[in-house]
Amino acid sequence: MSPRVYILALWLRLWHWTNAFLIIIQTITGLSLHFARPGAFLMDFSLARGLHYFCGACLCVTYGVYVVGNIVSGNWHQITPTLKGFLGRAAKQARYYAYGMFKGETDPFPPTPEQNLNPLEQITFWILMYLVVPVLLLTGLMFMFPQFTPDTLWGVDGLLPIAVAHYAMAFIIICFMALHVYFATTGDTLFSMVKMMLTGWHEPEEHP
Amino acid sequence: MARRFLKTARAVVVVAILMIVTGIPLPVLAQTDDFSIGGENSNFALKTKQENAACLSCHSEAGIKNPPQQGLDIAKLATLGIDTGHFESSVHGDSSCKECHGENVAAYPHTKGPVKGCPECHKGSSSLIEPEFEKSLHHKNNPDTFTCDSCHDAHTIQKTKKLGTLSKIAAQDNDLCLSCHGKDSKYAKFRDPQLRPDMAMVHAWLPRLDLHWKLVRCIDCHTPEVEGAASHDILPKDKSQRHCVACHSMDSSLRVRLSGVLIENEGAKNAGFINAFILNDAYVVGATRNTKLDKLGFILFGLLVSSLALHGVLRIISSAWRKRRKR
Ligand code: HEC
Ligand code: HEC
Ligand code: HEC
Ligand code: HEC
Ligand code: HEC
Ligand code: HEC
Ligand code: HEC
Repeated sequence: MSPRVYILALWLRLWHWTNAFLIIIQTITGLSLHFARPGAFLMDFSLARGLHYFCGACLCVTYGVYVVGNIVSGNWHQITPTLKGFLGRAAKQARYYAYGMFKGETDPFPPTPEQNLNPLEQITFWILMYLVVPVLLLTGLMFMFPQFTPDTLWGVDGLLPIAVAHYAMAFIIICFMALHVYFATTGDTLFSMVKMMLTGWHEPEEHP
Repeated sequence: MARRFLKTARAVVVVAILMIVTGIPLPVLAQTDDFSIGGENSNFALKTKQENAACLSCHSEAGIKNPPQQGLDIAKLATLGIDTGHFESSVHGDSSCKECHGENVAAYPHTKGPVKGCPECHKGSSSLIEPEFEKSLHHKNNPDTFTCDSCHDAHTIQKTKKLGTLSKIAAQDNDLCLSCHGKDSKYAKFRDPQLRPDMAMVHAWLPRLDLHWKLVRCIDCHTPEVEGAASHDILPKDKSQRHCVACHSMDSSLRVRLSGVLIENEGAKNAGFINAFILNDAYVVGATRNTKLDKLGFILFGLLVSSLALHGVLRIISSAWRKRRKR
């Protein structure tokens, strides 16, 4: 059995779980607002509105913390894929998920302090954290402060494209959550990755 | 009988041809001309314009500054100006001042005389409006003093349908209510202005007041829901609408209330948006979502979850299979 290694800093773990909590709230309240109907869809409209605004503002703060934390701690290089040979490595990981995993092969890129994400995780997280989330937050802010949106765009109210973009980004994040939760079970054991996200320690175990 | 008819017909034709050639108008045609109110060049409209211009030579901003004759009570006249531009584009822009104000103001000097009530001309459309108005709390609480022109200024009212956008409609309609509920001077005619409730405080439960005031009409919450023309039955406060989902939902009440004045924005409707008529002015959460996008989202998310489930099942099966082979 290989020795256990400390991989995830405390700030990153705190950020991760705060973020997860906020995004779950935003999903429930967001769905309640979008699909609002008499008698409430999931949650009372007025309450959902208040929570969505508040947690949205919190998410902007946690995003700021994430970006600054990434720069200060150097963690940004973890989620930035190295371009050279990236496709080959990504293909290797994809082959593992699609085939090798069923044959009992070992993860081609197990988490190490130098490289705690595999190439597919890297590219997904990068797109998510540097493209999807900023657009989501920006369109959310424009919803809150409509004075900064153009009055009309393409003959319709300026808020319409903003609203549709906000909706599309939220959809991507909801899909990501499903993927993320599922792939969190693909560690050495079902819960080893969740444990790592809680304690910061990677404890390699015998493959089942 | 038939011979006489033929003779008259021939005579009429000859006279008509002669008149067309010589340019002398047919007396009959000239008379019908007088009835065609719409024609800009018709004598009737011209006469009205000239008559109104005479009144407006005093009763307008220009007239107050530069009255056409000496010795007028200018201080009094200053309070009697009519917004000329708004009058001409208003629904009564083609009516003569005298039609409503009667002959006693035809010549100066004159003072206030009886004014024709709105229902005298609006028999048809006010068949609904009057009974509604009589039920309204304003009229019930102030039966003698609260009248149609407590809200309406006959000189400036614009046809709601012609305004075209929700923001303009809301601005015109809300100005009527806010002329009292937003200012002490007019409110004081009915109640102690000290007791005038502050609109922001009364509606503090409604978030984003700034946004709501721009597109929601007071009457959208303070009258019963009626298809087509807005109701005139202003309800007491405890019967007013305070449920967000009345508007922020698929079956938005706004759709019913505005059905008479705004039509669906066809382009956006075909693209899958519900309540598309609002989209020219705003995206309203819950009310203007795109059902086609929603369906696409459900399908994609369903596909994703089922492929993950399939992957999971394959993992369980393959791991069990490997264990058995090891043994
Ligand atoms: C020569 C200027 C002049 C002309 C022209 C004129 N008015 Fe007046 N009008 C006045 C003045 C000044 C008063 C205020 C009289 C007073 O109360 O002493 C007045 C009063 C009125 C009032 C009463 C307002 C009130 O609430 O006391 C009405 C209504 C009115 N005019 C309508 C008209 C109409 C309609 C016409 C055109 C047919 C017209 N006026 C033409 C100067 C004029
Ligand atoms: C559709 C009917 C109608 C027409 C047309 C009309 N008025 Fe009036 N006017 C009224 C009513 C109603 C009042 C309010 C009477 C009251 O306060 O008792 C009024 C009030 C007035 C007043 C008093 C001051 C004020 O603003 O309340 C003046 C002056 C006046 N009108 C002038 C005119 C002039 C000049 C014209 C033509 C350019 C005109 N009106 C056309 C209905 C009309
Ligand atoms: C002298 C007759 C007369 C009087 C009095 C009168 N109106 Fe009118 N009103 C008209 C005419 C004519 C029209 C134009 C109808 C049209 O364009 O369809 C009109 C149109 C309107 C419209 C637009 C109707 C629509 O379908 O959008 C409104 C609103 C209106 N009047 C309100 C009033 C009010 C409020 C009063 C009382 C202060 C009043 N009117 C008094 C003659 C009158
Ligand atoms: C409490 C204020 C108030 C009073 C009082 C009032 N109205 Fe109105 N009225 C409104 C408002 C607000 C609208 C605009 C509705 C809309 O957007 O269609 C309106 C619209 C109208 C219209 C036009 C409807 C249309 O389809 O454009 C007519 C006509 C009218 N009122 C006549 C009257 C008559 C007649 C009376 C008196 C019996 C009266 N109003 C009293 C507030 C009032
Ligand atoms: C001419 C002045 C005036 C106008 C215009 C006016 N109001 Fe009022 N309103 C009053 C006064 C005065 C009261 C309080 C006294 C009373 O009960 O009549 C009142 C009371 C109310 C109340 C409180 C009812 C309650 O239960 O206590 C509501 C709601 C209301 N108005 C709505 C409206 C709306 C909506 C409009 C526009 C369509 C409007 N008002 C236009 C003068 C006005
Ligand atoms: C979204 C719905 C909505 C809109 C829009 C709205 N109101 Fe109200 N309003 C209410 C409700 C609900 C109450 C009762 C509040 C309470 O009792 O706490 C109320 C209360 C009032 C009262 C009674 C205040 C008192 O305590 O006596 C007045 C007056 C009033 N509104 C006028 C207006 C005017 C004027 C406008 C337009 C500028 C307007 N409202 C727009 C829902 C609305
Ligand atoms: C009478 C209809 C009506 C009612 C009732 C109503 N709203 Fe709205 N709401 C609107 C409209 C129309 C807009 C768009 C306003 C704009 O963009 O200027 C809006 C906008 C908003 C917005 C801004 C975001 C957006 O969609 O553009 C929020 C937040 C909101 N409403 C929350 C609420 C809440 C919470 C309630 C209940 C307490 C409520 N509304 C009740 C009609 C209504």
